[in-house]
Amino acid sequence: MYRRWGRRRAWVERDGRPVGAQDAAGEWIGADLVSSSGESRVSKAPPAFVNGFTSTQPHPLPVRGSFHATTVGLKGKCSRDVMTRKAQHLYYLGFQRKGLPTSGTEDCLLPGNSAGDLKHCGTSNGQTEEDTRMFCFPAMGHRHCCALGPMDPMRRSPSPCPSRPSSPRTPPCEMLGYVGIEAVLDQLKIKAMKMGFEFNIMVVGQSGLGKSTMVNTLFKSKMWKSTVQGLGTPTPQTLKLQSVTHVIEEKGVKLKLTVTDTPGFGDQINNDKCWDPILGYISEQYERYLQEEILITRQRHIPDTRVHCCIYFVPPTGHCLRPLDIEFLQRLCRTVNVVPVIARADSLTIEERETFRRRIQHNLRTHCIEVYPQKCFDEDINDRILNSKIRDRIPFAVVGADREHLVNGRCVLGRKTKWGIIEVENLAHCEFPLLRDLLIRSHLQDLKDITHNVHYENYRVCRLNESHLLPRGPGWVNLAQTPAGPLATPQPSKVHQQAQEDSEDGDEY
Amino acid sequence: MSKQQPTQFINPETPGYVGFANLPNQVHRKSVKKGFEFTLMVVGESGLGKSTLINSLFLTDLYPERIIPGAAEKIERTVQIEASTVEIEERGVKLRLTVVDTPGYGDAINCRDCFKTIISYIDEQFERYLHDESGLNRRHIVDNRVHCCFYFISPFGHGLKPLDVAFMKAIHNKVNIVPVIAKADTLTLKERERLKKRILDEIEEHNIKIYHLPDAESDEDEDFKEQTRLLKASIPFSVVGSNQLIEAKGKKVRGRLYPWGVVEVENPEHNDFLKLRTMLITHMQDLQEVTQDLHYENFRSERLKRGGRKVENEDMNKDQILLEKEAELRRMQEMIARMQAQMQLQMQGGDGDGGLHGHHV
Repeated sequence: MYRRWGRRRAWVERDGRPVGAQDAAGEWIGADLVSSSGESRVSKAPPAFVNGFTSTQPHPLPVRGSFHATTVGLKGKCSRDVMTRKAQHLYYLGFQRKGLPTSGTEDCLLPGNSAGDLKHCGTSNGQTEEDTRMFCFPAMGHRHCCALGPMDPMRRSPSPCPSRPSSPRTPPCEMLGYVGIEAVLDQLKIKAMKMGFEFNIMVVGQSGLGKSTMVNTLFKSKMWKSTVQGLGTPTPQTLKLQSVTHVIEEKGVKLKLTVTDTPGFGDQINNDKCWDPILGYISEQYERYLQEEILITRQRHIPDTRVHCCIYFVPPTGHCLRPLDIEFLQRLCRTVNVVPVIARADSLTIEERETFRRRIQHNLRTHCIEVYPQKCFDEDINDRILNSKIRDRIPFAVVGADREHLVNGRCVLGRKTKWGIIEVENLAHCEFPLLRDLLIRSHLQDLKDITHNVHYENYRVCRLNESHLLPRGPGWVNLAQTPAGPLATPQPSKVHQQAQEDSEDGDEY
Repeated sequence: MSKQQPTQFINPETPGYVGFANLPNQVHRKSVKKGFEFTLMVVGESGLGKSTLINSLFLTDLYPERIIPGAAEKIERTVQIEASTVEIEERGVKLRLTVVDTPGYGDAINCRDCFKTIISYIDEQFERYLHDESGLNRRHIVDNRVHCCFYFISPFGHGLKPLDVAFMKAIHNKVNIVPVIAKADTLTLKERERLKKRILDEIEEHNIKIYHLPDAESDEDEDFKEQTRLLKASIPFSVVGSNQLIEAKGKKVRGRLYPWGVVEVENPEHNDFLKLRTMLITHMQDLQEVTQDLHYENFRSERLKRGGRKVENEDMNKDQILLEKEAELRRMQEMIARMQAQMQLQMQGGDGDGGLHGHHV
């Protein structure tokens, strides 16, 4: 990919056509990676390949049809840009019209392939899967190759865009049909970087399952002290949610992270309805967003406090899900993205883990609990392939640790016991890297999108259907179609609205 | 012949030796012939390794056909009591071990009714023993009373949960409680120490009476005293159970194989399994005694004070109460009548005193 960028840069310069994204590209990639001569140096480390997961994913296309670019993977190794189908289609058109370059396409090839191989990939005009894979998202470079053949470690870095002739012999400005739409992606990237990102997660589970430690480990910073309750403080009788917000920055990318903790969940003797405060909190965040959204003059950027992801910690009993888990998950999966994890997995051997995982998956299927990544939101075949790999491994068996120990000369995060050191980032020991990759490096934007497009919309529809009960703030706009025929125009004064409401109620019932 | 008789009674070693120092051996021989009975109850949330620990402790497989119920069944299930008996023999000594398991404890969302079943089981065993003891044929009394209860505490919490506290308070007067920290291989050494201290503090705070090991007698040897001291210091025991043989450092040990190492069950540095087993074996007799002398006697005196039958014919009790109340009412009325008569007498007698009006009762 980096080579491709380098060449692209060179191409732009040769062309003389200023493409605004160049600087952004340079900035994004990092000055050390791309040199002006067009040679690119190898980036520090290829994106992590962990059991078929890459650190980048193609992103399921947003429903609203707007351009959408995000940067994820705070390590700076990857970014995800998304084009809508429309732009993609345009690109296809442009590409297909001109035909394929037959030479000088080294950087478009998968490593190990020769230039000649590309011929049979590209000659067909139909939009076969092969084509889609090779030709889509050209600006994304290697990421798409990654997505295509995740198990194939060879396909790591190259770019799949044969449309970009890298040889100096075929100057791209002579390429027929190239418009330059992809430059939008870079513009979006700059904008996104300026704006920064928001991410809200909630951790739910019984006390002592390592929730605080896990959050600290995920974001490699002390979000809060691992809680050890003092003696004499009784377990809180009602569930009180605590939120902590931090802004973390990595390579110029700012992330405003909010973590909501739920101490006291499931600790009482009678845990009936212990999920109500949590559901209430989530609805409250949706409500807040909705209220901001339905104002007449609304802010340019609505502060997003909605919970994007809820990590549910399952205690490692080794048997199956408990009734409390099932009740909670059933209710929560309808309103928020839930990622269940097996907490404190260092109490299970590898075989026990697998058995437990299978049983949990079976339980989830039996009770129709759809955890993230949900099957119904897979947009295309790539997503489905990738997400099924993830779904196969959910729930992840994780271990959290915020202490460092020396192992073979390396400093690793882990837990030290008399019989060994459990390394948190070692896939052979636990699946923490998978969770981290899922949450941060690959599916962060996806989580936000599904929250926005699906869960929030569901909430909004429900709310607006009961619009005659909706408290009307100043400047409220009635969006729902009320069936019985009362006024649907905005009412200026609240008092008048109230009277109207009462009369409406009277009429309807 | 008469010369032979005196020689039979005299111990050639020490003059003045009578020989009743032999009595313990006789008891020993009789007990060995009779065999021992021990009932152990295990209580704890599901998934804490109770069955594995029991199997490891007694090197048997008490649950050969165990089916772990699925989540759907768990939702509807209430706490059940399952008693399994196994006869173990070692060097001629027979032990009839009964393990009472309590599946379903702590599973439900609302665990308020968790302990009712367990408490009624314990009471039932006491009741049965009382009944047998007061019966005519006392030769073959089967002792099914619960001698010891292993209470499994989850290592994932920060100490005792409200459910743990409530349960222990409910049964500490009925049975010897031995708290055990399960699945101790998730804890580092420091975490283990911290957790033990927390649990002991909380037990003291809530005035829970757990089983205390008896102090070693002063005439016991130093080793035994040291051992007892060590055991006492390690309560609650943090254990790991396993019956799988793993190859470690060239020899086969029972343990759990992890990618980062092997946890040996019988290694005192790794966990307190050996200590728990020692405690159980050396103090089995003491546990039985405490059950007999303390818990059973408490139960018996409560029971006999109450008198009558507890469980059946609650309707008859209501009728009885009604009758009693009626009798009381009649008595009260008689008393009033008597007092009124007295007053009248007084008034008649004390007319000269100027109308001393008595209190209107």
